[in-house]
Amino acid sequence: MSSITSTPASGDTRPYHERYKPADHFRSRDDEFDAVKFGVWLLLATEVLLFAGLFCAYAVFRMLYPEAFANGSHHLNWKLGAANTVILLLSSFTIATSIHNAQKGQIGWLKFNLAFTVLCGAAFLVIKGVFEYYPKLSAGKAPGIFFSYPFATDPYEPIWWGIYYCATGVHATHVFVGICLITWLFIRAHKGHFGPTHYNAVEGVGLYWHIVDVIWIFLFPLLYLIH
Amino acid sequence: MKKHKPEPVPHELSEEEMLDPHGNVTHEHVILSSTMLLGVLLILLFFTFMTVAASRAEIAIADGLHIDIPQWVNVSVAMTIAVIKAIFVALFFMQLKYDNKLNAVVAATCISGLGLFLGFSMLDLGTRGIINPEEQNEIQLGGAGLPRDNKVATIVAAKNRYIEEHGLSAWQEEMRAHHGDHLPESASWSGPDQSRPRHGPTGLFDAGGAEHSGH
Amino acid sequence: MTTTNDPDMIANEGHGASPGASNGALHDAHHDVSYLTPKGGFWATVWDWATTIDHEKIGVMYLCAILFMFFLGGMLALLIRLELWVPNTVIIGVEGDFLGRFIKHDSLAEAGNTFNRVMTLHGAIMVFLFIIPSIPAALGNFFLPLMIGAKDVAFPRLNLLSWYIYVFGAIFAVSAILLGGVDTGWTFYTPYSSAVAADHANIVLMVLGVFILGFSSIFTGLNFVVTVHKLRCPGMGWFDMPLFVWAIYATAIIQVLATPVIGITTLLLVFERLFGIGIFDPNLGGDPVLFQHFFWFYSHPVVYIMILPAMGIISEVIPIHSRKRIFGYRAIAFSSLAIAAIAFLVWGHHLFAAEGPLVAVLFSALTFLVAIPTAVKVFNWISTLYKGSIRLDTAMLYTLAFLWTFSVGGLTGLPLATLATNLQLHDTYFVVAHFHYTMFGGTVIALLSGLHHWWGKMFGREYAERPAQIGFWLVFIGFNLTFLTQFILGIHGMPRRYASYVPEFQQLHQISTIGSVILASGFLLHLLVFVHSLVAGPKAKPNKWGGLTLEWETSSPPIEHNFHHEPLVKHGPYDFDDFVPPQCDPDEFARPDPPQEHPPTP
Repeated sequence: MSSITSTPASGDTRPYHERYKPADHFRSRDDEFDAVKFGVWLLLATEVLLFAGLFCAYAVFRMLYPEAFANGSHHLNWKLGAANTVILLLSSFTIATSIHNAQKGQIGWLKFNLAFTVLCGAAFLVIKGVFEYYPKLSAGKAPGIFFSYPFATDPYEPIWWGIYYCATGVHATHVFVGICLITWLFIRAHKGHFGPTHYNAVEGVGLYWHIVDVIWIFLFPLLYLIH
Repeated sequence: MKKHKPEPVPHELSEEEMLDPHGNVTHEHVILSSTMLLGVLLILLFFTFMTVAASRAEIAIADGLHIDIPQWVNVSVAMTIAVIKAIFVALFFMQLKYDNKLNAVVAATCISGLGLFLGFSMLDLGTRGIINPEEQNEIQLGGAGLPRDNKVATIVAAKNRYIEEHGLSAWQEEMRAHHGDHLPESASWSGPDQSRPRHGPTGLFDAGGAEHSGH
Repeated sequence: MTTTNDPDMIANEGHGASPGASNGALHDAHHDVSYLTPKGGFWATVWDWATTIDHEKIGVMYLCAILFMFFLGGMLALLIRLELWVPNTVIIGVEGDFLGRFIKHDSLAEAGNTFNRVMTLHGAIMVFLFIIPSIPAALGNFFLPLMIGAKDVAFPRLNLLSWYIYVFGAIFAVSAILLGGVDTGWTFYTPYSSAVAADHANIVLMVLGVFILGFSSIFTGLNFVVTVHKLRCPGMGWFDMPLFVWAIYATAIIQVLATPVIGITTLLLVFERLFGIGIFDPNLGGDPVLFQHFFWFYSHPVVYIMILPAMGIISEVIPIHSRKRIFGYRAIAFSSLAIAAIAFLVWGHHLFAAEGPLVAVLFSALTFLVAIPTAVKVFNWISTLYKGSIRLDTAMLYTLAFLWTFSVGGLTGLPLATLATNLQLHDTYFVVAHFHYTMFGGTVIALLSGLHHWWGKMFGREYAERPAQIGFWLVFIGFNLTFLTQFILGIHGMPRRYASYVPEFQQLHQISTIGSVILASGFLLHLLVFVHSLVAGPKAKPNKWGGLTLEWETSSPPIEHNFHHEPLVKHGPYDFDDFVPPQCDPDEFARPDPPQEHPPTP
């Protein structure tokens, strides 16, 4: 929505966020800010309803095949799940703080918090991929036609693995998208685009990152803790 | 004859309204203090600890005291804590508490849509045999984990492949290592006619015929 | 009337086009040209359109895309009707038959396969590529910002992105066709779509296409909701909005809330298909009825994504073309929202034959609720017509036709919502006729009404009224011939999706086929009328019908930034008795006599 270029107009030496003018169908910066925030909330609603399908599949098959789900859950290491939960909560905190930094004009802290959030996201993906997916897949605990784990005791365990990989996979995709977006924020912050008068993008991406966290808050107990 | 209309009265517009018919053009932004954000983080970490502790406690009780806590207790404790955590994230990190109420309406609408979706789908799949028990039985006999073009269930095929490569005794040894002494009888999980009856989470909706086909 | 902040303009009101360029403070002069003005040479213009973020151009691009898809789907429909001319499978048939010369089959079973493909593609193209984006993305994009007095939608670049996503999804779907098509039916029911080996790659492509199209729909809906909330012009409260805007708003809410579910459904179906994850496959322990729940949680609300904007067009055309204030403005506005809400409670009525008895009873009861807000609308429209000065031009003719066809479609929905009769009529031609009366008789008829109503405003050229009216009669008669017969066929037990049938049905099938040819000729005539209008039509007046809503405030076609001056609303959208329409000759749309305190005594 930004309608100006990065190069300052002649004589205008103010920083970008003060020079920033909203797109000309908005009445003011705050008007645009509210519109962006409302739009992002609507997007979050679609995200939640996207995951609704996965939660519904989980709930239905857990109801139908409780033994398979209990068995499947035992294969997951709750310590890794808990570590990932803590990492995501921490990153939620840092992205919330980065909005605070932008509002206060603390650009150094803003960059630090954004970078920290990216690192948390990366750590999440590493734990997910390297310490969880990889050993499980090589042991044959894979979804559908790739399932080759010889010690399963319930005929529906492949369904459990299907739901596990779909739910965590779609979630991990969202984490990855979030990392890309926050990296983009970091670059813009580095260029000095954000400040007390303009931080729409930080606010919007922050909301998105929180919903990724909220979804994990539900996935963690459902997959790792309930037997 | 035409009815007489009153003389049109144009809307009286205040100066503010002329500028913006819906809310203020400029407004203060909420700035949450860092200490508050930190406090919320600590609360969230505490609840994470609680939900893990509850789950470990349940396992400890089951293993040590041989008391099986019913599943719904486990589920509802975990879900309650998750909901509390989600509410904290939404209210403070996502600023819903201080924000335009419109965004809260979006969130509420979305949650009710989610509830409808989950509610009706589970209600249907959990109550198939409620009037005609034989309908439920038919559905029970359906799936046995058979892949599209295979004759045997996926898990049996995986087991057979392992036995072919490593021998039966190796498989039995590994199986014991994985599952202790609670080895399930193989008859209960092989073959297309052997899928187990489905029980709902409460058992309330189970059809009468399902009870004596124990496992 | 609607006017501007500029005192000169107030003096000017009601006397032709406004000299907009005078207000340099608001706009640069070069923005005051029509949005259709070419930017330089051919390729420069193409580039300008391809990268535009102007909602008008995006609306026109959507219109072209959906009309092309309508043509494709229509051709497939004609092929289906042609095949059903005779009871046996012969026309799309075996060697030696009429079409067998072009499409050769070794056996009847193979010919039946081709029929299944044609029927599936007709359904999938019409639903996902034509009807869902039709009115909201084309006319909605064009007129929503104009009608609320905004310069653009809230997120113009997202708007362009949504068009490109639509094209991208369409490419997936069309490539599935080119690779040989899909024979699952447009509903992609499992286990047929997940387990049967035929068309493996095509099904994945088609379903991915639907997944991608969902994003396009979500972005359009999200944009419209924010636009309606944030960009209404000064003086426009919620109840000063035209009813078309209310309808698009309700539609957009459904698009945002329902579409993600089809996203995850199609994604899971792709995983099911490629990896056999087993959620929907009964062989693996999955549940195919769960797929039906997933699918219809989206696809029932979609029915209202299709019909609500159509109802919005009808609510615009009726008051303007009968010069009468709409009856029950708030009732119509709220009934749109009520329909959007109820849309999420009734999806189970599509699977009465498959789901358990408890939810079937619940869903049946809930389904009847839809009748209430729908009837509120229909009665209010009819009350508006009462004692109005009705002008029977093409737009109004289509609107009156809508009242008939949509009522037939709605009322035949009641026996389908009733459990007992549903089981009798399930998957027969009665269902086919019912949803064609609502989808075609509702949405397409209303789209045609809206196109004729707004054609001059969109393209700045008038169409030829007389041929358009002939086109209307062809469409109306053809449509009713095609589908009224199918109600009878359905009651007699003709199942849907069959290429051959018992000889007793032949007469009715032939009437239906004749109707479809008449229908197609009507569309051909409309196409000619529109092309003629673009090439040689007379210049359109800025406010041909004397409308009071804001889109009539600007020139025809609108300028790039929509309005010459920031609009300011001082009256409701349908106060025809009290205000002279903007940019019209005051004599042409005279107000009724001014009220007198004391009527003259005899």
